Amino acid sequence: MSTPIRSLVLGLLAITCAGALASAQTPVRTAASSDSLHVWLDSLRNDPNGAHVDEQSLHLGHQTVAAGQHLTGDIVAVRGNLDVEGTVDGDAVAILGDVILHPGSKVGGDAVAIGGHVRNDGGTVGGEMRSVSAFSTAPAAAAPPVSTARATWRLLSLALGWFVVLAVLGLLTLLLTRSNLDTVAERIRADFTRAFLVGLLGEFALLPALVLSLVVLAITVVGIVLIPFAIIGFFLAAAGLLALGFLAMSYVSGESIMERGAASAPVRRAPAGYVLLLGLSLYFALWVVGALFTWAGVLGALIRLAAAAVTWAAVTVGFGAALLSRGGTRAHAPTPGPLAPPPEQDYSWETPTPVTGVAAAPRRTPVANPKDL
Amino acid sequence: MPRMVHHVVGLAAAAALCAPTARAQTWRTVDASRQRQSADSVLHVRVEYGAGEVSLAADSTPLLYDVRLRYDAERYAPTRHFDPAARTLTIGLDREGMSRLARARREFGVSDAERGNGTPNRLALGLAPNLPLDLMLNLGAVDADLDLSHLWLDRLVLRSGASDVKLAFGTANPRRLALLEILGGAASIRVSQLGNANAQHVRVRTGAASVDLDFSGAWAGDMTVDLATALGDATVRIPPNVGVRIVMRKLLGDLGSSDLHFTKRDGAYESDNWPDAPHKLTIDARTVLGDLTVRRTTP
Repeated sequence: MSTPIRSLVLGLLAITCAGALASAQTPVRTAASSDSLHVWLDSLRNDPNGAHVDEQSLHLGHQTVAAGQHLTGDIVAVRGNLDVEGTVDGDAVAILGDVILHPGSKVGGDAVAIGGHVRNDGGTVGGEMRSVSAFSTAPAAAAPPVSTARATWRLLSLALGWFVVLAVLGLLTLLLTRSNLDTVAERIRADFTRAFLVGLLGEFALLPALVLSLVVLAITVVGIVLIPFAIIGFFLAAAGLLALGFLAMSYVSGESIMERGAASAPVRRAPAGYVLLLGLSLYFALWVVGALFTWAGVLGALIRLAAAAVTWAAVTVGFGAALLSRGGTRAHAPTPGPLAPPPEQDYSWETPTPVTGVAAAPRRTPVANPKDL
Repeated sequence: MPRMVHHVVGLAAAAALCAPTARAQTWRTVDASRQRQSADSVLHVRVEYGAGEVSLAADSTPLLYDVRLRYDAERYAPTRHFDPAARTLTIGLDREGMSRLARARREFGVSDAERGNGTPNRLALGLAPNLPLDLMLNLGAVDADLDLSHLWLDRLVLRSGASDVKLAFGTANPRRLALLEILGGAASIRVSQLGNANAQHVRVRTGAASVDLDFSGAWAGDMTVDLATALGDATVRIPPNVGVRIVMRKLLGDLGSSDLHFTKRDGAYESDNWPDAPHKLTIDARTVLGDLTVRRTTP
């Protein structure tokens, strides 16, 4: 085994052992490092499995309540065992130690061991005997704040992850159901405002529509069986329409960018995949910028808010277009406009017809008396 | 020098690999018990348990109760409270609120497996024998093994969301069980030796859960069962010395029996030994899609 690999294995072993030794005592260790009785007291008081004890009752190290001794309050041994041979009217607590109740001992309150055990060898406890592996509430106080670099990295990875997922989904859509994507995109181009309004309405109607469907199914006895399938089907359909709509919107956005570029310098018509990725990049660029500005505090939050607003608008328009086109299966029929006047006919090429002298209708003549005939 | 660099690099790499694991030590255990007092008269027990394993049995030590709980502190918060005045023990294991959820989301780099989700939460509850008990169990999605042997039951309500529940009356209940109610959503509920329950009336309601009711045991009197199922099947096991009369209302379900012979009389199905059986079981059954199967147990 080469030296680096051996070092890696040894390191792994060492850290695994350290982790195993740490076990569930992480919060206790955290508190211990502060080495302050106040930390122990707060943890003990805030923990639902702890105890409400007086500050004066805390003592570092092993403690003993001797036989015949009578304590009127509580007693807490921190980082040591608590041997009770006499009487404690209040709570008897050990933190990182055991509470040992010797024969004849009496505890009026609770006997509590945090990070240890309560061992009853013949004592009497008026309250509860509790053995708790570690404080439950300490991690909240001890949780380290997330660093800016880590937060930036998380937001970046989230944005890039979504970009990759949607890019793959978009390319698959282009490959397999190109016509649906084109139809939805055509809808967006043809009627952007209507698509947005329909999308908005659709988003609001999603939940009521699901509830209504379930109610209808529940009314019929046989329909109850279909409810789980209906829920899954509904969510799949909604997610599909949202994704298709957003991809179509990205495609249209990509096209728009390409056209602007082409206006200044004519280029060849780009492949559809390239256009789609360009459009997607436009939206995710906002998220990436927002992530990169995490250090800027409010400014970063505002950028992310703007990214969310833009993305939501795009999703809404796309969703509306997908709804209007029934998932890209119904092509857009252009609305008929006002009738254009018929084109003026040019008769110049025809041979002029003499009008003068040509009888347009038979001339009326007086009818003779039939008797004269 | 190069060897030292190798060691440092190795340790750094190991630390990087182990960092999420070291952060994932979130399992907690709580053992809580209370000594029995001479003045103890009745104990009310309320259990609200969301997910994991639950076991319940009579405790052999002179304790009023003995709770042993193991849970994931990152996702669940235990609640345990004893009200000495009302003689009520409340035990719960609920999902944590939003603050903890938010903290967990901050740490989304740690996978579920690293958090120790492979090991379920566990609650082991021991209760004092020979003490009247009022027991109410609300179980979410759990595997429950409830052995009620040697317990004195005055009242038992079991509500199960999607739990696999095994409920056993191993010994005869010396107290009259005033209320025995079993409500099941999904999964399965199996009750054995219901004859020992000393209940006059049993109420069973299930949605998609299958229910298996075994009425063997030492019968103290006649019993009626109000059984309603929607999608799940119900199986009723009748000992030889018990006569059974079934009033069945069904939509698409059916009544089946391979080893009992029934005679239809006054709209009800009566077993052959109904007129002269020492103990009688009357079942009022309503099913929608599930079947009701009646079987005779061997003595």
